[in-house]
Amino acid sequence: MTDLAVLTQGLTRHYRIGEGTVEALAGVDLRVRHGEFVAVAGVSGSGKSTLLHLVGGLDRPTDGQVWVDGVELGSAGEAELTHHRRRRVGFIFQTFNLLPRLTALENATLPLMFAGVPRREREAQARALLEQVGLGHRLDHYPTQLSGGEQQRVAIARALVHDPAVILADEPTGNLDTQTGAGILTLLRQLNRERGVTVLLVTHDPAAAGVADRVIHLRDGRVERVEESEQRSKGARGQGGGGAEELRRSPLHPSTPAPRHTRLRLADLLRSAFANFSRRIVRSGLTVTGVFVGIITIVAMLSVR
Amino acid sequence: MQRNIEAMGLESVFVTPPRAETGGFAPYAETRPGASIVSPQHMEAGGFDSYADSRPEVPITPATVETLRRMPEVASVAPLVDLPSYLDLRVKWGERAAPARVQSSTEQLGPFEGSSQVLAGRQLDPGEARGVVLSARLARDLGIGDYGALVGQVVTLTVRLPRGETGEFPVTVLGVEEGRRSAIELGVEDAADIKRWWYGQPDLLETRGYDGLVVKAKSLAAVPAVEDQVKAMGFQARSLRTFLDLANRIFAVLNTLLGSVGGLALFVAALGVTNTMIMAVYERTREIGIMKAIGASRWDVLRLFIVEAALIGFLGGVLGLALGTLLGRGVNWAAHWYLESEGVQGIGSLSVVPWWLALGAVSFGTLVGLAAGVYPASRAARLDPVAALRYE
Repeated sequence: MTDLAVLTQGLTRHYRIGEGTVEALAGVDLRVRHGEFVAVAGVSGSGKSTLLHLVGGLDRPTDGQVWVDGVELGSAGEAELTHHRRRRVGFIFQTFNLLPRLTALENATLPLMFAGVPRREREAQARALLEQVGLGHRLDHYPTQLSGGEQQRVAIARALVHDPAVILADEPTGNLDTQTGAGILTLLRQLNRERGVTVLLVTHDPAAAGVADRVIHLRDGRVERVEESEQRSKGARGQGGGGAEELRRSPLHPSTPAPRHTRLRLADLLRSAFANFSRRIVRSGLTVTGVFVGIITIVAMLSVR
Repeated sequence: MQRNIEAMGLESVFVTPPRAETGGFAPYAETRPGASIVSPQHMEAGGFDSYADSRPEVPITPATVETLRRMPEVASVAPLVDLPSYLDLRVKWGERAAPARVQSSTEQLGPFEGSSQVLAGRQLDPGEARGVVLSARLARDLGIGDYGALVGQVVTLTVRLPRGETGEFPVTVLGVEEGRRSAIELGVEDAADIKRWWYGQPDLLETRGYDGLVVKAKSLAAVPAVEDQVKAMGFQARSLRTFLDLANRIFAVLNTLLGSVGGLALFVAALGVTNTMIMAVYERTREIGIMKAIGASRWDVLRLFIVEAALIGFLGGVLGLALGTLLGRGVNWAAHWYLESEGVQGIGSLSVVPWWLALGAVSFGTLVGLAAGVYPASRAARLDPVAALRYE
């Protein structure tokens, strides 16, 4: 089981909407080996995003099991799920989902910030990755100053910075033009090969499906069919199947950051609080005014003797 | 009498005889239950003289003064003699004469009475027996420009009874002090001389007694004992303690008011912080989803928002402390300006911000922000990441 990056058995997820129940996933069995690049295709509502959320530990299954890197998530507690998101998976979204008030570099360091890695250390790692995705010259740019493709590259760097076992990409090309989208897919494939990271890609873009080792077609919450991409799967299995796995375990691999840092540091907390405070400076200022009027009165009262 | 007032510290006990009338004199008169009984002697002595002053039940005689002086707790005793304000008195210097009012010594017993500036010579000491101090205005009325020339000279006080009789009293000038009214301050014995003649009572001090005493205790701690002994002798006694008690009561009321206003303001401010943070949680719902997806725990999100709320409180505390201190300085400045214009010297700072208050104000502000942030932060922490990511 440890040679599998992702394993699901009878994975089921129901949503209650009003009186009725929607069956997003109705018993999905899935096996993804380490280092594999798997695309999940299907129309909107086929349950592919739900699958991604379950593998990513953002959601819990109604029934069935989901194993990622040897850990079952359905029965995991909140702390285990947080650890899972922090260590084993990296998310890439259709809408990039960068934090608007942070630079490219800061965005890329975020997962390490929540893992408690000191600023200098995590910025060095993020910088290296941003250079790898071709954004070495845009480190201090804010998301609004970047093109869609560039933003998605930042997001990819962010998804990789903590060196996860699995990258979960939810329609990463959905908001990009064909050419840029193709560039992103190529980059993902390249990173998959070079770093041996498993990629689970949700898409309905045929081009995306073309890059993958396998394409799993979902329909109404069930696996409709699995499409093996011949030459690629050979390549992936030939050199990747075992090779990627070995790569992950080799000492050369910049493996998972040592678990000595486990939680958000006070300096980062304060920095974030200041940044968020100044985001809405007028509103924050007015709120402060309320407090200081009260404090003035109390100081005036206690200072007179 | 200014020296009297200057000398009146917290150690002073103001003694007045019990009286039927609570008129002009006795600024802090306490109406005593038995005091309204008018004795037959009084009827006899004063009944036919419309200008006679009422006779106290227990007079403050020179013997009383001696008794008080011998008390171990007493540092000094200064007797006071008042002359009626309607006294027809003129000050004569050479050929010139000018009307003048005799400053009532007991009227000035208040703690915050101004002390005038001495222009020449000196002022009367507390309880000083003989001598006169003229106001500058009076000196000018007498045609004297060089006040210094007057010091040591003898002027004549001419007092006229309503019946028409005139008495002359030579007194030595001790000094000239600032004053816009024509007035004199008179030594105790000089004033007593006039009063004896006025009432036709040579034994005035023995029978009617002094109008008051300023008894100075040796220490602040001895004040209550002195006050009690004086009261036991049948006199009325007041000390600045009474004023302090009153001032403390006023401050207590003021503090309660300020405290309520401050507490209310802080409560409303806390609601404001909560509201601001709830809005922030709404605005950043999607970001919270992102943060959770990339590894933020509930505890991380909770702390992010609580620290932000505490920051608001902290800044409020710092600003409040700074402005509160400035306000205190302003109050100090205004109080000093006012009291000094009233002639009171040597008052300390009214508003002082000690380190514990500074620290307390900032921590309290932070605490208020922190408490106000708990609810919004826990809402943020509990957000479902999938729903938060879909939030627009």
